[in-house]
Amino acid sequence: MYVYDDFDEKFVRERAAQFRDQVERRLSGQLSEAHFRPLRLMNGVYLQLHAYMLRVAVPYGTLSSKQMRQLAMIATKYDKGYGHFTTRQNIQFNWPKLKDLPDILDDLADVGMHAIQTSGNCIRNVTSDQWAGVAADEVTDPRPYAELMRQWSSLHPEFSYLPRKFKIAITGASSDRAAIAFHDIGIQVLKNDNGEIGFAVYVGGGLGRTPMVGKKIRDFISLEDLLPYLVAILRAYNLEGRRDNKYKARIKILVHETGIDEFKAKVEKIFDGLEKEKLRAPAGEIERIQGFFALPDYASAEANPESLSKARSENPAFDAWVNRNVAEHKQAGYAIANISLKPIAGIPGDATSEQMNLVADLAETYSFSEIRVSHEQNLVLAHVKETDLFELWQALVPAGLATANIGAITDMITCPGLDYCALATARSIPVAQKISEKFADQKRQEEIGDLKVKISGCINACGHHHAGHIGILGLNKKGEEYYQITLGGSGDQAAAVGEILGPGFSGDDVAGAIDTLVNRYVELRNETSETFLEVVKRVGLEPFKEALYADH
Amino acid sequence: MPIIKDGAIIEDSWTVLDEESDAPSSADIIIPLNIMLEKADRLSNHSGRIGLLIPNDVAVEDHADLIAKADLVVLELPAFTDGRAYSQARALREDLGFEKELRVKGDVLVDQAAYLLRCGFDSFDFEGEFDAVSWEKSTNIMTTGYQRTYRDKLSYRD
Amino acid sequence: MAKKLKGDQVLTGQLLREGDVVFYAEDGSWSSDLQKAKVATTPEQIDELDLFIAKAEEVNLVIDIYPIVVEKDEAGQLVPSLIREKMRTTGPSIVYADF
Ligand code: HEM
Ligand code: SF4
Repeated sequence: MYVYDDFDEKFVRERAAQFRDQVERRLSGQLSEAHFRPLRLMNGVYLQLHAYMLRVAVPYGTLSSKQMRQLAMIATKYDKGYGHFTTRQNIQFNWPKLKDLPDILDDLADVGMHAIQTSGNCIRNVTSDQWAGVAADEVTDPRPYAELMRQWSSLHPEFSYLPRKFKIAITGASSDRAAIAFHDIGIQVLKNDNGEIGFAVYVGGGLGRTPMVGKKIRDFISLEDLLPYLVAILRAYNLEGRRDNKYKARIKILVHETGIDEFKAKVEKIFDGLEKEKLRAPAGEIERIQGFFALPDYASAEANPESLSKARSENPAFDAWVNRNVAEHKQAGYAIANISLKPIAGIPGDATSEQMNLVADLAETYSFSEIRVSHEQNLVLAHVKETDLFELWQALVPAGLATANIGAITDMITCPGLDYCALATARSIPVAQKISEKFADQKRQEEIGDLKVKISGCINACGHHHAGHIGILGLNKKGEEYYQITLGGSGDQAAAVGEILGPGFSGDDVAGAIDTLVNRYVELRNETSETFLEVVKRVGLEPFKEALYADH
Repeated sequence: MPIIKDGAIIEDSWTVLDEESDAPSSADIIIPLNIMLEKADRLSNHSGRIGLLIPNDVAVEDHADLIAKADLVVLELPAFTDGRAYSQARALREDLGFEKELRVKGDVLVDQAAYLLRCGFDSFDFEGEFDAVSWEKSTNIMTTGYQRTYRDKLSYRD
Repeated sequence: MAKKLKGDQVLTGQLLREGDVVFYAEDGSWSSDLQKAKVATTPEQIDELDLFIAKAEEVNLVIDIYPIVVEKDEAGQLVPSLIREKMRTTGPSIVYADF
């Protein structure tokens, strides 16, 4: 993975010093809250319902064991002993104090981490496929390009006061695990007929109150022109994006109102006028970065080892975990082990300091000291020998980290909701907990198969509910929390926005409603392999509405 | 309003021309773009320097000819959160090759000065008080950067 | 200007240095205990509280100050009327970091 050189280190140290100075000026009253707010946001500091919140960047979701241990240390020393992994592959601390934040940023800088641009109207942390580099369906590893964009976007002098936040995601695989269609810019790495690397570029996707699927703006932009092309898109947006209404300020609205053809024409005109040479990555830079992403030195390892099948047959719980949580690796004899942060009835995405330390240790022992954070709020050990899987699982079990539910109905994406979030209209976590309890039975989960439930506590859609096969949106009606259900959304290569089923449900009734929907699906499917989405496509919403509302 | 250049308050020689009045023909005048477009002829015997005030919803490329003749360009920052002038400035400097004085006017925060300098501004006409110490600190605290911009004094990785 | 709220009101905000939720108390201090809050019941008292906000923010001790509506429960305890403010007063409704 990428390791900071002296230059990167100096950069984050200077940035931390700058923020220390800003905090001092804020505390002394020299800086007003109105002026300080955008500065703190660009350093990942929010003011939440009960406390400040710090969002630390985990660029494209990759962490070293050393970094994970430092996060655990920060959770213990400055917070309440836990952290929350987010759908943008970052980690949030819910209880830091403003006066401690400069020290926390120094501690992060010690391990090559920062909170730069994890909030604010600037280019946010670039996200990517959590299986990057090891997925079997990959054209090429997208992370060197993600890192290039991370550097390019950091403290960008031109793009730090945009109309609204700006999110970029990149994938190098044919199955999109990075939800690129729902980003302001989505990038897919390609190889052309000559074997040269380039990128298909999508623009204007997003969730929030007006969900939109991104539109293609370029079939192929060369590696050399990637950064200049991003400059052209961002410049068009910075100049023309709406600033009169915060809810209409995202690039998706500009693209929608202008039309993709005219927007593209504007971008291309700016692109043609750019002095591109200075905007390109310096010579040799991409190669330098790529050097960090060389695959680890895999030992020759036995594929499908005898010991693994023996352990599986003797131990049904382990077998279930392998079925659900272990994915295919490029390298024979290796596997991708997913660690679920969705224990039954737990808080989706939370990890304690002890759990973080344990995962750091296990990564060191079994996976080249590297950890990934997935946008579904789970952790990944990306290079585990098949012969080590059983030992790894045994170590995870006592820590509550061996839940066998990756991709299953209890593996829900859930935003913090009204338990933490100042913008929320309803709670999300307790709803997730009730659903999780309802579907706790492993056998039932397996019968149901893959099913993505996603929950947001308000229309901002941080929990991606629009993209859930079943989406749940928490609202407030006459002072009471209630929940609207959508069906048929999807965040992958067949991106789609879910449709609202009908009247909402109270917090106590949501889990039951989901149960009804799932039972209906099981009845309706032609064979067990027919997925929830396929059934919704085939039969439409009616049968589900009937099941839910018939006797109401 | 003070004008800041090179980290210090300077005496401003420029006056803004409004719709009605005519400035003395030898004065340094700043002319809003719309007046310039309508009444350029009025300036034919102006002997002083001419500056151009460009609103932030204008595409600077569309006025490359006027800009090339100007001795000063003033861009606007109506609110510190409105970042359009940053893009206009870079387009002026890096794409149109404007080399004369580039000024920003409006709600400038000391914490933004470094970015404004990097985008090519060299003078600041701002509301509020000027504090040379914070200015000095805020424009020098970052010595490294990842983007190569016009007349940038930061160091890059090489 | 925000819409006029209806009902008895108290002022709440968050400590600048720590972020903790506090309420403007009878004795002129800021307390984490809602029960100590100064309650405005008449239109005059409510206007007075509203006017106090700007002054209180200038002190630079508490930020994000705004009024909330409160009621008394059966035990005579103050409780916020809105669910959001209830949550803000009592803390997360879930048991965290405990599994
Ligand atoms: C707790 C504090 C949080 C606040 C105040 C917050 C605020 C917001 C707001 C205002 C939006 C809508 C932006 C817009 O459309 O213009 C948004 C969208 C989003 N947030 Fe959050 N959020 C929070 C936490 C999270 C967390 C924990 C996650 C990850 C689990 C997250 C991920 C996202 C995503 C993925 C979107 C949708 C992205 C899009 O529209 O492009 N947020 N958030
Ligand atoms: S969706 Fe709403 S409630 Fe949930 S984290 Fe985002 S802003 Fe908060």
